[in-house]
Amino acid sequence: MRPLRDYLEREVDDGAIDAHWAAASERLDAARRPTRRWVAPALAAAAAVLIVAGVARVTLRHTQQPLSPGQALLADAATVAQLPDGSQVELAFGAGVKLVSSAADLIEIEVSRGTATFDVVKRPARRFVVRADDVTVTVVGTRFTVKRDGADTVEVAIERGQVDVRAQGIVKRLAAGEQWRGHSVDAASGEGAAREPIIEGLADPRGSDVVEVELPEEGDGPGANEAKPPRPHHRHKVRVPRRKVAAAPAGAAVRPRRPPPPRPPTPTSCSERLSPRAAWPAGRSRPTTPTSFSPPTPMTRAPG
Amino acid sequence: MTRPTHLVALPSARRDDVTDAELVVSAAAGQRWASEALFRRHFATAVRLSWRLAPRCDAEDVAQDALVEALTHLKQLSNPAAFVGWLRGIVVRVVRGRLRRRSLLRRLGFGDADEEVDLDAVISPSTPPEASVQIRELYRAMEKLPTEERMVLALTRIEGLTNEEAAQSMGLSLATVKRRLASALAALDVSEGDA
Repeated sequence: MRPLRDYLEREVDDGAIDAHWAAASERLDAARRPTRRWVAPALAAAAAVLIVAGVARVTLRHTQQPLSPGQALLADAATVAQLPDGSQVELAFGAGVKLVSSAADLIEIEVSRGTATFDVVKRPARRFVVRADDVTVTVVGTRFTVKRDGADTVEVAIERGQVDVRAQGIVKRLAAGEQWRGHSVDAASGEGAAREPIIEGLADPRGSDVVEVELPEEGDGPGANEAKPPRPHHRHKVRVPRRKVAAAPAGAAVRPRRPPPPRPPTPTSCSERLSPRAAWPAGRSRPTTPTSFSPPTPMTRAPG
Repeated sequence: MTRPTHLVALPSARRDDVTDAELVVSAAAGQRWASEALFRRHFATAVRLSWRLAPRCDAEDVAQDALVEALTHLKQLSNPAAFVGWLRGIVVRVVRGRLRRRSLLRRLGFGDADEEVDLDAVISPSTPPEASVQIRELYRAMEKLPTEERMVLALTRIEGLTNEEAAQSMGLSLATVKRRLASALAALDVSEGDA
């Protein structure tokens, strides 16, 4: 019995074969070209990141009206709040802010808890001030984050632009990529909460220009109360670029970074290079630690 | 025994006195004329097979896809003489993929309107009446079957393959093919009973 397919006749003309071969030929050429195998996964990963970012952006809740002076906002979900001057503040879950005052020349906001990221519209005529406890951040037109962790830590991170951070009377200007963290000093020491600013440059391209500056405690120096036990927490260690050393507070001890130890001169002749004794500079004692590997002495059984 | 890796260049891709196996070896070695010869020789076969398995799919498009896939993966073919059977498996896979996509789109409400397949244009005039009736019943029933059962039914009842050959073409076990065929035939009986 013949299979049923033999009764089915589907015509295929030569023109169709020519046209399909032309198309297939191009596809075969494309398949033969060396392909970068990482391109497709990379594109897929990028698309996934964009989708996740888009979803995260969509799930941010936006307030309809800008905050009015005196109004406080406690975010029970990630929220973007508008401010009267057109700036925005992005609140993480659980963050709280309060618009203290809003005028043509001053916007003042208090971060009461949690993490708030500010995207500030650049307006030279008005100051934008963010307070977290006794830390004040004054803005020049930027995007930055203020994080208030519990009662004793405030962190400021700059994404774009510049801000001035003031804590304990010390002002520090931070640029994009820099981060500032202040810890409140233990109140049990008898002086109440004080803040020890630790300024950490996340990515400091001027690494070689950095010097350490020890800032004196207020009331420190000649005539200070000597009965008070020395408290290391009150010595602030601030890392500032070398070009700002001139602006360091009076009384600050400037200690440049220690220069690297001198290296022994490079041997010039072949014999010097071969002989470690000759390569060692005269007048310097040789190190006591062995510089070359010497095989251990073979273990021998003690006689008897 | 060594397999030939190089053949004498042929004057034309349309010569018929070269075997599939020789063409496969040359095409796998990167000779374009051999790829073209294989394509031209088997395109019509692939179109007809695709049409018989799924008349609603664009058979020429399926054939092009299947042949391009075959020609780009010739090195995976361990026995060059088995090109025809290998290509049949690829056509079956491409058709399956298209049928699945169609059924998914239809479930999502994007399916195109079902037109009646014009069997009169393809059933040869010399077909005996009972065979003609059988073909029409099979295609009517296949439209209502799930993709896998429909493919098994088409491969065994229309293509005339044995269950083993159908299993090989679809990459399934013999037991699975038998189960799907039984299910398809049961549905066919039910629909015949309704008619």
